[in-house]
Amino acid sequence: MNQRHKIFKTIEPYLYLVPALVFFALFVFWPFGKTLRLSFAMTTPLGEVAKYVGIDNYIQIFSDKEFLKSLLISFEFAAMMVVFSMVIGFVLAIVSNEKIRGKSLFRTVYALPMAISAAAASVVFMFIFHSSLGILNKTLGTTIGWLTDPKWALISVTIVSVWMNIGMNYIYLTAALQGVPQELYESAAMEGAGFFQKHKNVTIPCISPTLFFLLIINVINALQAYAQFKMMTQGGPSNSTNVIVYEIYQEAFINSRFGVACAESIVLFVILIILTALQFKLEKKVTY
Amino acid sequence: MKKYKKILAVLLGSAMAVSMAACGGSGGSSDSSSDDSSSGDKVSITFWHAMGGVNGEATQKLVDDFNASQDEIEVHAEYQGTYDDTITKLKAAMQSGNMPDVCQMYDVGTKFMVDSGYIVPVEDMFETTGYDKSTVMDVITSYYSVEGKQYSMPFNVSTPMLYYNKDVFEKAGLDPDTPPTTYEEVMEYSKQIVESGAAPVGYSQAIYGWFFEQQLAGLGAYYGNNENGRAGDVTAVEFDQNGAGLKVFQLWKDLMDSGYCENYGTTTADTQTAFFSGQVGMIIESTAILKNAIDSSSFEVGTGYLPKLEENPDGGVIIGGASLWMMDTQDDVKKDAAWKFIEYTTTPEAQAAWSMETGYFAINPAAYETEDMKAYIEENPNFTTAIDQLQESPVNNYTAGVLSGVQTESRLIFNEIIPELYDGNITPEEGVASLADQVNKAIENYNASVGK
Repeated sequence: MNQRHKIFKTIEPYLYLVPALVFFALFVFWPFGKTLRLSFAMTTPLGEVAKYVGIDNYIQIFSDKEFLKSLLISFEFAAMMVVFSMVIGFVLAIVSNEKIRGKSLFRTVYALPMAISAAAASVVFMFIFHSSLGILNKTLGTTIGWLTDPKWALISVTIVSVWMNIGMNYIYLTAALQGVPQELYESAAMEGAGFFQKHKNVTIPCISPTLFFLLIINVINALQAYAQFKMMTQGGPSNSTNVIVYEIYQEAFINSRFGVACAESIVLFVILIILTALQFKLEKKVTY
Repeated sequence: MKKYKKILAVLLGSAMAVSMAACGGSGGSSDSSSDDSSSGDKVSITFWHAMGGVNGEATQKLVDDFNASQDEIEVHAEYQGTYDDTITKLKAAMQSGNMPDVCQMYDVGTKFMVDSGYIVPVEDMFETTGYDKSTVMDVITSYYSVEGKQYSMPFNVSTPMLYYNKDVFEKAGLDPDTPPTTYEEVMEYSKQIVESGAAPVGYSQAIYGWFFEQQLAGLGAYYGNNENGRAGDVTAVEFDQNGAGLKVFQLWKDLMDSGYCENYGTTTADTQTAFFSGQVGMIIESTAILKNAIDSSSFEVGTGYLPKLEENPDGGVIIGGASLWMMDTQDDVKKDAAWKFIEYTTTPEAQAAWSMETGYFAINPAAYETEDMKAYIEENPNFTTAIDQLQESPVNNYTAGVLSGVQTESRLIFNEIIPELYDGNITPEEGVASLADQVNKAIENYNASVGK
């Protein structure tokens, strides 16, 4: 009996994991396995395997200029997104954390874009960006095709995405700022630190875990952005906003090449894994 | 030990039950609808469609009218989102065996449906039911026919035409009752509109591959080989060989370079809005937006035939829109019911009501003989433009349009090339070559994947 009890003790922890494992297997591992399998196949328009083609799909996407371009566009978009939404979110959080009148009003206003769905925001901005009727061109006195000119389209979509993303950054940073011990500011003030010195030497080190968390979340969000591209540009004009997620959608559901789309998904997955691993490594080094 | 086994069993059991419940979610709704059929002795069938907004209400009304007109069949209409959403959902439904009995499918999905093997050609029902094939205009049925056999029943049918702003025409000193008929005239009129200050932009056409196909048909030229895929499967495009593609690309470039036209991108609604707000004198658009155009504009809307590039006796317009497909559900009772519903949609009364509520054509010419329709057209003369244009179009494989499994993709490729052309990054020759090359690759891939 005692022997049996020992055996049970060793397997007991795993039993508790069974329910979660079943769910993961069903909704994560199984679809993942299927994606991996399809990435080595040519598919019928119905998404069934027509025949296995080995690594042809991978060779095809890596020799396809459009796919490499869409990777590049995704990185460009992610870089702009991360920098602008974190910097603006940080500045707003600092400003509204000062002792000013109507603090709670500012907080509500700054966090508000978070409550708006990407689709709704896109529709509103499509009116704003319209080249003949939009308020933006009317105000600036220009005739720029914000969404129809390949030079401007990615910037325009980025502006909307940053605007939508500021709310989340703002909330996390405001919460983090309130966790910074007041004594540190007091002693910094006693040592004669000015506004910028105070934030550079006290605030940023104290909230660095939040900053790193936001960095990871922002990069992943940006690389997975889809709704605003679907709504505003459909990857165009001239593929100038064809980010990788939209490219995958287009290959799978419009062009019915599920094999190629699955290969692209796997590439995106690998990229995200590498980025996340890198960031965790960095975080351990930099955090106080 | 027994106790632990029990715990394990409970754990596993509960996990399985939960996951099974999750999987059963989608199946639940179809179970309940089949319950309805057994209780009321009625045959219950499902009908998937992609009509939202005003057109969705008209579709629901059509279904309600059918259900009220007899007591053997109950049709359940289910809105599935856009055409693209519908085809995606139908693909999934084909694999899981949960297909609707009748499905609306857009024109470019025709080849996919034919190749899918999950459909019953409507022509199979004609003989047994004594249906008269000539009920529907043959210029319309020709789009949905492959090698002479009609596969689906046209439902909502539209063609492109010219919309113009009569107030702007008057201000510019143009005759508001004579729209341009050629692109040469479009260019002249645009110049006059802009230079007289009547509107900031003379003419605009959305970047939309459908217009390219229409302009090719207007030239009496094939898009794809094997007579647009009507005499055999398309294996390559032909517009790069017959010179028509270049003519059309040159036209797009010339219009844009004239300085009297404006590009509002690939979202057709953006071009429409610019026109509705009086910024643009003329646009080409589908006849399906006619009712919307009249309701949304503060000026008097005029309509004309799609302008021509060249005079050609074989040239005409291709019909667009969608048709109703009978799915092969392996259930003869349901198939009969599905056919009865489809047949009902082609009756003059049903078509007249549908056309008046939406702006789509009535596919049955007899609909135009009904009193309601006559009175309606009297009040809205713009509705006759579309009808006349279609009736004057010759019935041949040019105007039947290309039958290709990759046409959705081809249109998207077109959308990506035109902005490059506008920007001057490529010449019209390069544009045509690039389009042909990419579409040919897609065709090759499609044919390989369906085993042809």
